[in-house]
Formats: sequence, C-alpha cells, structure tokens
Amino acid sequence: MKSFKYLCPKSVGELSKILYRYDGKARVLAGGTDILVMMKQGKLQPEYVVSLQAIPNLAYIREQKNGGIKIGAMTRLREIEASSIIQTKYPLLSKAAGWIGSRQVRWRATCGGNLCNGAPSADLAPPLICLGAKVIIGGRAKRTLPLEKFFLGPGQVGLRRGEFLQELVIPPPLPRTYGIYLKFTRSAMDIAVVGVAATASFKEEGECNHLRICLGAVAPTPLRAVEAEKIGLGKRWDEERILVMARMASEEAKPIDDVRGTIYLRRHLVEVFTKRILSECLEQAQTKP
Amino acid sequence: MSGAGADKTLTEEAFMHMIKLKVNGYVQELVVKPHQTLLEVLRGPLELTGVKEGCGLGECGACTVLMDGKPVNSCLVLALEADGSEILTIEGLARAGGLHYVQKAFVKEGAIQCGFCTPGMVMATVGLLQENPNSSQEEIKEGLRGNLCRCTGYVKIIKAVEAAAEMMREGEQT
Repeated sequence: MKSFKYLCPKSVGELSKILYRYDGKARVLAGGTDILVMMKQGKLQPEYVVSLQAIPNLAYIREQKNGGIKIGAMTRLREIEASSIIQTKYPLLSKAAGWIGSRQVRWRATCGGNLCNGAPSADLAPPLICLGAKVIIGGRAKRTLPLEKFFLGPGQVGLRRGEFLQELVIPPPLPRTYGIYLKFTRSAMDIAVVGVAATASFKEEGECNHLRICLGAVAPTPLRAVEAEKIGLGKRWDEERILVMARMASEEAKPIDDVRGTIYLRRHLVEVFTKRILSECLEQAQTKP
Repeated sequence: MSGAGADKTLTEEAFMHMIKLKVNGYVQELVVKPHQTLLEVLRGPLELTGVKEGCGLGECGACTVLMDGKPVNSCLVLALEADGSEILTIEGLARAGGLHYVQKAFVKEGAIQCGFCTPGMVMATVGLLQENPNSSQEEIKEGLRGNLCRCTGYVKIIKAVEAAAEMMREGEQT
C-alpha cells in the first residue's frame, strides 16, 4: 500500500475543516473494509486519509419518541444486524446488513461507509430507501437529504466540499407494513448480482395504501421502481397484478453485463424476486392481523 | 503542493506515529507508519507469526484476531486504527492450564490439515462462541463464512466448533 498522511480529527467541526481544505486529496476512513482493499490494489491512492474513529458520538442506534430511529454513520454493520430494535421494527434492514461480507468484515464496516461508497449494489440502500430513510449531512451547515437523492452514480454521492455523512434517520414503521429484502449472489461473500427490497401495507378492505420497491445493482444507483409501484398502489392485489408489477419492475431496471451476470439474468432476477417479495408481503398482510 | 502551510513537508518523520496496544495481555508501544496494517505489526515487530496472511483483502480470514473481543481481519485494520485497543491472537489463547477449549476441540475432532487457516478459524470460533455459545449449525456456518479452508471440506471444522460450544456450555475453562 502506498503511504499517505493520516489525519485524525477529534470533532465534526475539525473533520469538516480538514475535508474542505484537502478536497480532492483526502479520503474518509470509516471501517476501511472497502477502501483499504482498493488502496492495497492501487486503485485508490489518496494523499490524506481522514479517520473518523476519534470523533465521539458517531456510533449509535437511538430510538426516537415518534417511534423511528437514528443511526450514527460509524455504527458497525454487525451492530445493525444484531440490534433488537432494528430486528423488531425493520427486519429487512437487519437482514440486509447480515448479508454483507463476513462477520469479521461486519465488525469493522459501517453503515456510513456502505452508503458513501456509492456502490449501486450497496445492500443497505434498497431497504433504507423503501423505509423512507433520510441522511443527515454534516459540514459548515447541516442539511438533510432523502437517501434516494443521495446516490448520483457509481461511486458518486451527494456530498459537497467539506461535507460528510453524519447520521441516518428512519421514520417510524407504518402500521401493518411488511417489508422484505432479497439478494442474489454467486457466493456467500460476494456483492449482490441483484438486490430487491419492497415495503407494502394494505387497508382493512385489502387495497394497497403504501408501496415502495427499490432495486439494487441494476442501475447506476439504487433505483425506485416507480412505475411498478403505480400499478400496485390503491388496488387489491391478485396473482395477475403481482406478475404485471414484477414485469414492470424488470423493465424499469437498467442493468449492465459484467462478470457477475448478464443483462438478461439481472432482468429475470428482478422479475422473480419482485414477484416473490410482493406475494410474501400480501400473504403476511392476509395472515398477520 | 503549495501554500498549504502546515503540510508543506511530507517527510518520513511526518509518517511515523506512536501507538499503544495491549496484545495477549501485554502492553506494547510501537512506532508505526500510517499504511502499516495491524497484521504487519503483529507478524513483524511483535513476531506473532501465528497470525497468517492469506489473501490480504479480507476474504480468507486467516489473519483473524480478536480486537476488543470482536473478530476482525487484521489485514484490513490500520495499525493506527487499533491504537488503544486490546488484541488477542492465537498465541495468547492457551493458558497455563493448557489449551483453550476451542483448540482442544479442533485437535480432538481432527479439524486441521495443513494448518494455515487454523489460527484464524480458531479465533473466529472464539469470537462466535463468546457472542453466542448456543450457536446452531446454521449460525456456525454463517459465523465462519469469512474463513476459507482449502483442505478439510469444513465438515470436521464445524464438528469441532459444535464440540467446543458444548464444552463451553458445560463450563470448561474459558
């Protein structure tokens, strides 16, 4: 690994100043499980590495009065996976965290790092987008952004000069909402070939009154399948409608061919997974009161 | 680089940092470079060569150590980031009374062939069982999916972990 200058700010204010000053030359080090690999392979050679580990209060899972939660950017994936609060309120999120890498990786890797890498395959993104998560961005002035708007392209996220991801805010789960995340990989340790998440809820009479579908690894950014959502919203679902929605999601995907899979395989997987997830949501709604 | 005041000289000295680690119970003070990994420091100056370097990319788990009780890939932790933490390697596992129960179980079940993955496998197992001594076979497989073994086919390793879990539940040495 090529050497670099290691900076270790003690506060978010100091961090912001450093990032502003060394814009373009500095990389933020959170858990390091991705960027150290890239640095070892020579794909990344930053002049400055800015560690977040000495900054207090960046790692936490806090329940809010309104029933939602806040997650600090330095919270380790293993903690998200094992948190009883998250397992109860947002089971799809804890599952997605648990599917990343190995346990050794998850004890280092952080939720902030998973999102700031800007990978289209980031496992946390589809569930978090379905859950309506927002990111709190620190810097000279704090600002809030829906997570959906945070991703700009492969490896690119909506952080301006001097800014960093500080916190995730997840709104309280809607009553009678069911959510699932499925991921297709070649092996246990690999990144997603395709990831699909959805959350849905239904009125007593059976009409769907909330639906979000988000696809991972099939577009330059995590992608909401908005047209598929339109087909399901406000309607009662049957097998036929679910199939139409799944086909629409597959059409909305903009996948590429790469070593992990072809365009054809990815579109097919989106359809199969979307169908499976939506059927499961409906079944849960019908069986669980 | 111009005009940026304090950082005008990136000399070798600017790259040196002092860290303090507690390794296998002993406090160690070391001078490290920013790009040195915990693995390099353990195997180099500290001569703990039981910690193996396999892939160096966090995929094989041969370099697994416990950092503040949690299993991590020491090849993906900068030595600087480990400053102030407590590290346990395979060398620190056995006590005066003999081998650790996970080591005993691996020996008893014959869960070792060439032995290269064994230190990492044992440390990952210790981490796993400390977190949940009642791990099911599925949980054991999930917990060890970051540790590759190219010899055994894993059957005996999983048996050994189950045996170790049983010893742990029966309250053998910890």
